[in-house]
Amino acid sequence: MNDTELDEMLDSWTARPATASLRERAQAGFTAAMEPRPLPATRVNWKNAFARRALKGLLAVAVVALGAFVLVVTQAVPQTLRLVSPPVQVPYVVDSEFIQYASDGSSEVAMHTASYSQVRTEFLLSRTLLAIRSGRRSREVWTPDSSTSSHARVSRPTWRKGLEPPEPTPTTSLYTLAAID
Amino acid sequence: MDLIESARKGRESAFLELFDEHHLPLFRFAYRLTESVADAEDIVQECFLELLRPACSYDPARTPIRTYLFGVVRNQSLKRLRKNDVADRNGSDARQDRSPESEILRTEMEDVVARAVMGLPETQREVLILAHYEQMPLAEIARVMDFALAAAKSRLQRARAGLKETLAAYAPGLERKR
Repeated sequence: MNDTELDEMLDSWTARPATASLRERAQAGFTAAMEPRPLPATRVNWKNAFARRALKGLLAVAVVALGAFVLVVTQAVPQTLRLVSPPVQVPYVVDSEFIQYASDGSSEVAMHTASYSQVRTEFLLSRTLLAIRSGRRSREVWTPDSSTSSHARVSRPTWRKGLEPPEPTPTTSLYTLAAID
Repeated sequence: MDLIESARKGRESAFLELFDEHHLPLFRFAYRLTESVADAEDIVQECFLELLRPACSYDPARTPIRTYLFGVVRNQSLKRLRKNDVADRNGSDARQDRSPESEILRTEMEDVVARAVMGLPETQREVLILAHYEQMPLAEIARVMDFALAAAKSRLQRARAGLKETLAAYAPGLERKR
Protein backbone atom coordinates (compact mmCIF):
# COMPACT_ATOMS: atom_id res chain seq x y z
CA MET A 1 0.00 0.00 0.00
CA ASN A 2 1.41 3.39 -0.94
CA ASP A 3 0.86 6.76 0.76
CA THR A 4 -1.87 7.83 -1.66
CA GLU A 5 -3.86 4.66 -1.07
CA LEU A 6 -3.51 5.08 2.68
CA ASP A 7 -4.68 8.71 2.47
CA GLU A 8 -7.71 7.68 0.43
CA MET A 9 -8.62 5.05 2.98
CA LEU A 10 -8.17 7.45 5.87
CA ASP A 11 -10.43 9.96 4.13
CA SER A 12 -13.27 7.48 4.28
CA TRP A 13 -13.50 8.07 8.04
CA THR A 14 -15.64 11.19 8.28
CA ALA A 15 -16.44 12.99 11.49
CA ARG A 16 -20.05 13.31 12.58
CA PRO A 17 -21.42 16.84 12.45
CA ALA A 18 -21.92 18.68 15.70
CA THR A 19 -25.49 19.20 16.81
CA ALA A 20 -27.16 22.54 16.10
CA SER A 21 -27.46 23.25 19.80
CA LEU A 22 -23.71 23.41 20.34
CA ARG A 23 -23.50 27.10 19.52
CA GLU A 24 -26.48 27.90 21.74
CA ARG A 25 -24.96 25.93 24.61
CA ALA A 26 -21.67 27.79 24.23
CA GLN A 27 -23.56 31.08 24.20
CA ALA A 28 -25.44 30.12 27.36
CA GLY A 29 -22.14 29.13 28.97
CA PHE A 30 -20.71 32.53 28.08
CA THR A 31 -23.69 34.33 29.63
CA ALA A 32 -23.39 32.26 32.81
CA ALA A 33 -19.66 32.89 33.02
CA MET A 34 -20.12 36.64 32.70
CA GLU A 35 -22.78 36.92 35.39
CA PRO A 36 -21.45 38.68 38.49
CA ARG A 37 -20.96 36.22 41.28
CA PRO A 38 -22.38 37.02 44.74
CA LEU A 39 -19.81 38.11 47.27
CA PRO A 40 -18.92 35.65 49.99
CA ALA A 41 -21.17 35.81 53.07
CA THR A 42 -18.33 37.00 55.27
CA ARG A 43 -17.97 40.19 53.26
CA VAL A 44 -21.65 40.97 53.20
CA ASN A 45 -22.02 40.51 56.95
CA TRP A 46 -19.87 43.51 57.80
CA LYS A 47 -21.99 44.40 60.83
CA ASN A 48 -20.99 41.21 62.62
CA ALA A 49 -17.36 41.78 61.72
CA PHE A 50 -17.49 45.32 63.12
CA ALA A 51 -19.22 44.16 66.31
CA ARG A 52 -16.59 41.47 66.85
CA ARG A 53 -13.77 43.98 66.43
CA ALA A 54 -15.42 46.49 68.76
CA LEU A 55 -15.91 43.81 71.43
CA LYS A 56 -12.26 42.78 71.20
CA GLY A 57 -11.12 46.41 71.52
CA LEU A 58 -13.41 46.99 74.50
CA LEU A 59 -12.07 43.89 76.23
CA ALA A 60 -8.47 45.01 75.68
CA VAL A 61 -9.20 48.49 77.08
CA ALA A 62 -10.90 46.96 80.16
CA VAL A 63 -7.89 44.71 80.87
CA VAL A 64 -5.45 47.63 80.55
CA ALA A 65 -7.63 49.85 82.77
CA LEU A 66 -7.87 47.17 85.46
CA GLY A 67 -4.09 46.68 85.44
CA ALA A 68 -3.50 50.43 85.75
CA PHE A 69 -5.99 50.67 88.62
CA VAL A 70 -4.32 47.87 90.59
CA LEU A 71 -0.90 49.45 90.01
CA VAL A 72 -2.02 52.87 91.22
CA VAL A 73 -3.79 51.51 94.31
CA THR A 74 -0.85 49.36 95.40
CA GLN A 75 1.56 52.24 94.97
CA ALA A 76 -0.64 54.75 96.78
CA VAL A 77 -1.80 52.46 99.58
CA PRO A 78 0.84 49.71 100.09
CA GLN A 79 -1.14 48.17 102.94
CA THR A 80 -3.61 46.84 100.43
CA LEU A 81 -1.02 44.32 99.28
CA ARG A 82 -1.12 42.69 102.71
CA LEU A 83 -4.77 41.96 102.19
CA VAL A 84 -3.93 39.69 99.33
CA SER A 85 -0.42 38.53 100.39
CA PRO A 86 -0.26 35.30 102.39
CA PRO A 87 1.16 35.61 105.94
CA VAL A 88 4.90 34.95 106.24
CA GLN A 89 5.61 31.37 107.23
CA VAL A 90 8.62 31.36 109.56
CA PRO A 91 10.18 27.90 109.28
CA TYR A 92 12.21 28.18 112.49
CA VAL A 93 13.69 30.82 114.81
CA VAL A 94 17.36 30.97 115.72
CA ASP A 95 18.13 32.56 119.08
CA SER A 96 21.74 33.82 119.04
CA GLU A 97 23.85 34.99 121.94
CA PHE A 98 26.83 37.20 121.17
CA ILE A 99 29.70 37.01 123.76
CA GLN A 100 32.29 39.71 124.04
CA TYR A 101 35.74 38.79 125.38
CA ALA A 102 37.98 41.27 127.16
CA SER A 103 41.76 41.25 127.06
CA ASP A 104 41.90 39.90 130.61
CA GLY A 105 39.91 36.81 129.57
CA SER A 106 36.61 37.78 131.09
CA SER A 107 33.48 37.60 128.94
CA GLU A 108 29.95 38.89 128.93
CA VAL A 109 26.86 38.53 126.76
CA ALA A 110 26.70 41.55 124.54
CA MET A 111 23.63 40.89 122.46
CA HIS A 112 20.71 38.53 121.86
CA THR A 113 19.12 38.14 118.46
CA ALA A 114 16.24 36.15 117.11
CA SER A 115 16.30 35.46 113.36
CA TYR A 116 15.46 32.93 110.69
CA SER A 117 16.98 32.07 107.35
CA GLN A 118 15.19 31.63 104.06
CA VAL A 119 16.66 31.23 100.61
CA ARG A 120 20.19 31.91 101.92
CA THR A 121 19.09 35.21 103.45
CA GLU A 122 18.82 35.90 107.15
CA PHE A 123 15.80 37.79 108.42
CA LEU A 124 16.18 39.46 111.83
CA LEU A 125 13.15 39.27 114.05
CA SER A 126 14.52 40.98 117.17
CA ARG A 127 17.83 42.21 118.58
CA THR A 128 18.64 43.15 122.17
CA LEU A 129 21.85 44.97 123.01
CA LEU A 130 22.92 44.06 126.51
CA ALA A 131 26.41 45.53 127.14
CA ILE A 132 29.31 47.04 125.31
CA ARG A 133 32.65 47.25 126.97
CA SER A 134 34.30 50.58 127.04
CA GLY A 135 36.88 51.18 124.40
CA ARG A 136 35.18 48.88 121.93
CA ARG A 137 32.71 49.76 119.24
CA SER A 138 29.87 47.63 118.10
CA ARG A 139 27.73 47.82 115.01
CA GLU A 140 24.90 50.22 114.93
CA VAL A 141 22.02 48.61 116.67
CA TRP A 142 18.79 48.34 114.86
CA THR A 143 15.69 47.59 116.84
CA PRO A 144 12.83 46.25 114.83
CA ASP A 145 9.46 47.63 115.52
CA SER A 146 7.72 44.79 117.32
CA SER A 147 4.36 46.42 116.85
CA THR A 148 4.43 45.75 113.13
CA SER A 149 4.51 42.41 111.46
CA SER A 150 7.04 43.39 108.88
CA HIS A 151 10.40 41.66 109.01
CA ALA A 152 13.72 43.43 108.72
CA ARG A 153 16.23 42.00 106.32
CA VAL A 154 19.80 42.39 107.52
CA SER A 155 22.89 42.22 105.46
CA ARG A 156 25.53 39.67 106.31
CA PRO A 157 28.16 40.96 108.76
CA THR A 158 31.68 41.65 107.64
CA TRP A 159 33.60 38.48 108.44
CA ARG A 160 37.30 38.22 108.44
CA LYS A 161 38.94 36.91 105.37
CA GLY A 162 39.03 33.12 105.35
CA LEU A 163 36.20 32.73 107.78
CA GLU A 164 32.90 31.97 106.14
CA PRO A 165 29.72 32.37 108.15
CA PRO A 166 28.17 29.04 109.15
CA GLU A 167 24.82 28.12 107.68
CA PRO A 168 22.02 28.82 110.13
CA THR A 169 20.55 25.72 111.70
CA PRO A 170 17.12 25.19 113.20
CA THR A 171 18.71 24.92 116.62
CA THR A 172 20.09 27.74 118.77
CA SER A 173 23.47 28.97 117.57
CA LEU A 174 26.25 30.65 119.46
CA TYR A 175 28.27 33.17 117.52
CA THR A 176 31.35 34.92 118.76
CA LEU A 177 31.31 38.61 118.11
CA ALA A 178 34.58 39.65 116.60
CA ALA A 179 36.22 42.93 117.37
CA ILE A 180 35.65 45.26 114.52
CA ASP A 181 38.48 47.68 115.20
CA MET B 1 -8.42 44.97 20.94
CA ASP B 2 -8.45 41.27 20.03
CA LEU B 3 -11.39 38.93 20.24
CA ILE B 4 -10.31 37.19 23.40
CA GLU B 5 -9.87 40.42 25.34
CA SER B 6 -13.24 41.64 24.12
CA ALA B 7 -14.89 38.34 25.08
CA ARG B 8 -13.30 38.47 28.52
CA LYS B 9 -14.76 41.95 28.97
CA GLY B 10 -18.21 40.56 28.28
CA ARG B 11 -18.69 41.18 24.56
CA GLU B 12 -20.77 38.22 23.43
CA SER B 13 -20.31 38.94 19.72
CA ALA B 14 -16.53 38.60 20.11
CA PHE B 15 -16.95 35.29 21.88
CA LEU B 16 -19.27 33.96 19.18
CA GLU B 17 -16.96 35.14 16.42
CA LEU B 18 -14.11 33.25 18.08
CA PHE B 19 -16.34 30.20 18.48
CA ASP B 20 -17.51 30.22 14.87
CA GLU B 21 -13.97 30.53 13.60
CA HIS B 22 -12.51 27.59 15.52
CA HIS B 23 -15.17 25.22 16.78
CA LEU B 24 -15.51 22.91 13.78
CA PRO B 25 -11.92 21.61 13.55
CA LEU B 26 -11.86 21.37 17.34
CA PHE B 27 -15.06 19.35 17.33
CA ARG B 28 -13.74 17.00 14.63
CA PHE B 29 -10.53 16.47 16.57
CA ALA B 30 -12.40 15.81 19.81
CA TYR B 31 -14.83 13.48 18.07
CA ARG B 32 -12.07 11.43 16.47
CA LEU B 33 -10.32 11.11 19.80
CA THR B 34 -13.40 10.19 21.85
CA GLU B 35 -15.70 8.69 19.16
CA SER B 36 -18.59 10.42 20.91
CA VAL B 37 -20.56 13.43 19.65
CA ALA B 38 -21.77 14.31 23.15
CA ASP B 39 -18.30 14.15 24.66
CA ALA B 40 -16.82 16.12 21.76
CA GLU B 41 -19.42 18.88 22.15
CA ASP B 42 -18.84 19.10 25.89
CA ILE B 43 -15.12 19.33 25.32
CA VAL B 44 -15.42 22.09 22.73
CA GLN B 45 -17.76 24.12 24.92
CA GLU B 46 -15.50 23.71 27.93
CA CYS B 47 -12.48 24.65 25.85
CA PHE B 48 -13.96 28.03 24.86
CA LEU B 49 -15.20 28.78 28.37
CA GLU B 50 -11.72 28.02 29.64
CA LEU B 51 -10.53 31.11 27.77
CA LEU B 52 -12.82 33.33 29.86
CA ARG B 53 -11.53 32.17 33.24
CA PRO B 54 -9.24 34.59 35.06
CA ALA B 55 -6.79 31.75 35.77
CA CYS B 56 -6.51 30.87 32.07
CA SER B 57 -2.88 30.31 31.14
CA TYR B 58 -3.23 31.40 27.49
CA ASP B 59 -0.61 33.92 26.42
CA PRO B 60 -1.24 35.36 22.92
CA ALA B 61 2.38 36.51 22.72
CA ARG B 62 3.66 32.95 22.95
CA THR B 63 1.04 30.71 21.35
CA PRO B 64 -1.45 31.15 18.52
CA ILE B 65 -5.02 30.69 19.68
CA ARG B 66 -5.58 27.68 17.40
CA THR B 67 -2.61 25.82 18.91
CA TYR B 68 -3.76 26.61 22.43
CA LEU B 69 -7.33 25.46 21.77
CA PHE B 70 -6.19 22.19 20.17
CA GLY B 71 -4.00 21.60 23.21
CA VAL B 72 -6.96 22.11 25.56
CA VAL B 73 -9.15 19.79 23.46
CA ARG B 74 -6.44 17.14 23.48
CA ASN B 75 -6.06 17.28 27.28
CA GLN B 76 -9.81 17.22 27.87
CA SER B 77 -10.23 14.31 25.45
CA LEU B 78 -7.53 12.29 27.17
CA LYS B 79 -9.21 12.92 30.52
CA ARG B 80 -12.53 11.71 29.16
CA LEU B 81 -11.00 8.69 27.46
CA ARG B 82 -9.40 7.59 30.72
CA LYS B 83 -12.65 8.17 32.60
CA ASN B 84 -14.62 6.25 29.98
CA ASP B 85 -12.02 3.50 30.06
CA VAL B 86 -12.68 3.05 33.77
CA ALA B 87 -16.43 3.15 33.12
CA ASP B 88 -16.01 0.49 30.41
CA ARG B 89 -14.16 -1.71 32.79
CA ASN B 90 -17.02 -1.28 35.26
CA GLY B 91 -19.43 -2.58 32.65
CA SER B 92 -21.15 0.63 31.51
CA ASP B 93 -21.46 1.79 27.91
CA ALA B 94 -19.38 4.90 27.41
CA ARG B 95 -20.52 5.54 23.86
CA GLN B 96 -24.21 5.91 24.35
CA ASP B 97 -24.62 8.32 21.46
CA ARG B 98 -24.14 5.52 18.95
CA SER B 99 -27.60 4.43 17.98
CA PRO B 100 -28.16 1.18 16.07
CA GLU B 101 -29.23 3.22 13.05
CA SER B 102 -26.03 5.19 12.99
CA GLU B 103 -24.03 2.00 13.25
CA ILE B 104 -25.84 0.60 10.19
CA LEU B 105 -25.27 3.78 8.24
CA ARG B 106 -21.57 3.64 8.86
CA THR B 107 -19.90 2.08 5.86
CA GLU B 108 -17.78 -0.93 6.32
CA MET B 109 -14.61 0.85 5.17
CA GLU B 110 -15.20 3.80 7.46
CA ASP B 111 -15.64 1.45 10.36
CA VAL B 112 -12.46 -0.42 9.51
CA VAL B 113 -10.43 2.77 9.22
CA ALA B 114 -11.86 4.18 12.47
CA ARG B 115 -11.00 0.96 14.31
CA ALA B 116 -7.52 0.94 12.84
CA VAL B 117 -6.87 4.53 13.86
CA MET B 118 -8.32 4.02 17.31
CA GLY B 119 -6.11 0.95 17.68
CA LEU B 120 -2.96 3.04 17.35
CA PRO B 121 -0.98 4.04 20.45
CA GLU B 122 -2.34 7.25 21.98
CA THR B 123 0.28 9.75 20.84
CA GLN B 124 0.56 8.25 17.33
CA ARG B 125 -3.21 8.48 16.97
CA GLU B 126 -3.25 12.15 18.01
CA VAL B 127 -0.42 13.09 15.65
CA LEU B 128 -2.06 11.26 12.75
CA ILE B 129 -5.45 12.88 13.33
CA LEU B 130 -3.95 16.37 13.53
CA ALA B 131 -1.69 15.84 10.52
CA HIS B 132 -4.07 14.03 8.21
CA TYR B 133 -7.55 15.20 9.16
CA GLU B 134 -6.77 18.75 10.32
CA GLN B 135 -3.86 19.35 7.93
CA MET B 136 -1.84 20.78 10.76
CA PRO B 137 1.88 21.36 10.13
CA LEU B 138 4.24 19.14 12.12
CA ALA B 139 5.77 22.12 13.93
CA GLU B 140 2.34 23.12 15.26
CA ILE B 141 1.51 19.52 16.16
CA ALA B 142 4.72 19.41 18.18
CA ARG B 143 3.62 22.57 20.07
CA VAL B 144 0.11 21.25 20.69
CA MET B 145 1.44 17.99 22.08
CA ASP B 146 4.44 19.52 23.81
CA PHE B 147 6.83 17.32 21.85
CA ALA B 148 10.04 17.99 19.95
CA LEU B 149 9.51 18.31 16.20
CA ALA B 150 11.51 15.14 15.54
CA ALA B 151 9.36 13.20 18.01
CA ALA B 152 6.17 14.35 16.30
CA LYS B 153 7.60 13.41 12.90
CA SER B 154 8.68 9.93 14.00
CA ARG B 155 5.30 9.27 15.62
CA LEU B 156 3.53 10.23 12.42
CA GLN B 157 5.76 7.91 10.39
CA ARG B 158 5.18 5.04 12.82
CA ALA B 159 1.44 5.68 12.79
CA ARG B 160 1.29 5.60 9.02
CA ALA B 161 3.46 2.50 8.83
CA GLY B 162 1.23 0.78 11.36
CA LEU B 163 -1.92 1.71 9.48
CA LYS B 164 -0.50 0.51 6.16
CA GLU B 165 0.11 -2.84 7.78
CA THR B 166 -3.31 -3.00 9.42
CA LEU B 167 -5.27 -1.79 6.41
CA ALA B 168 -3.31 -3.67 3.75
CA ALA B 169 -5.97 -6.34 3.56
CA TYR B 170 -8.61 -3.71 2.72
CA ALA B 171 -6.58 -1.74 0.18
CA PRO B 172 -8.14 -1.34 -3.27
CA GLY B 173 -6.32 -3.44 -5.81
CA LEU B 174 -5.20 -5.93 -3.21
CA GLU B 175 -6.95 -8.77 -5.03
CA ARG B 176 -5.44 -7.61 -8.29
CA LYS B 177 -1.96 -7.96 -6.81
CA ARG B 178 -2.72 -11.48 -5.69
